[in-house]
Amino acid sequence: MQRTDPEVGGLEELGSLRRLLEHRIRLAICILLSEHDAMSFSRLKQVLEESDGSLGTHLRKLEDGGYLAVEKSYRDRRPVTWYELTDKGRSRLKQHVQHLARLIERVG
Amino acid sequence: MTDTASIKDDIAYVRAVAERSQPGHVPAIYLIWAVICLCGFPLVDLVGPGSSMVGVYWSIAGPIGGALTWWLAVRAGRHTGQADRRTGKRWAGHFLGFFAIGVLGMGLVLAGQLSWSGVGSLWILILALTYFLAGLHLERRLMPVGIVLAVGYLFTLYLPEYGFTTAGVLVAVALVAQAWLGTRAKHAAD
Repeated sequence: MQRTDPEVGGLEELGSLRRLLEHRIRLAICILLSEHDAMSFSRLKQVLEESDGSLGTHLRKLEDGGYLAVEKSYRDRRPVTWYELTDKGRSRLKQHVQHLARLIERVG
Repeated sequence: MTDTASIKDDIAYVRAVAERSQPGHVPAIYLIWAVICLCGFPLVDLVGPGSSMVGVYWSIAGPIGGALTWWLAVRAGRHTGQADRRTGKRWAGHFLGFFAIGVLGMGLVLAGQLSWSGVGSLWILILALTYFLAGLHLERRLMPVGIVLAVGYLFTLYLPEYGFTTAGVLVAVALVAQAWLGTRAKHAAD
């Protein structure tokens, strides 16, 4: 009888993870936005300790994927870009976190 | 690094990021409530626990303090770039629960089972529990304030003339201390 290596089984499941959330910065962005209702670009940059360019790229990918909603406003005449998790983003994040939890439980 | 080890590393990173995103400390909120308590608690000793002035004071100062707290928290959130509406609702629900239980507690006077002085002490005891639970579930900094309020409650029972004044001073000092400690911790983190 063939035995399945738990790590190999886990890796198969890993393949099914949503590509957008595979990157830890994009995962962190979605986790942050699931915990807080909305965050500005500068706050995300401060918390994630990322450069403008890198953060902007990750946010655009999530926005293009329909995971994030963007709203622009002004504070002290300065533009502020706010990000919120969409329903789709929330649902995909939930699935992704469940996958990760199962995977970690399986391989220990 | 294997893929599973990499996932664990990613989760540790996400956890560290989430910890850095905790809502900021707003010392003005602590100071507002320190002033409200410092004026409101001694009023009970000054005009008597059954005086309508005590009820008038708290029915004005309470909602104004609540509204100012809400406004300051929203303003601080806008300033830091983080909106926490759900957290705000949790806070509001927590303290509205205190208010509702306090109002129900006044039924003990109407039923002739408790004096007005007893209701004053009861409000402080419920407030102590409210702050302690807020410290447990929402903001750790409020837990010592809850403990100080519980001590203040004992003063209202055993120090007939100045019990509420002592409780007011104690809670005001505790709130100012927490405002200061929070600001110091924030500066140290920055």
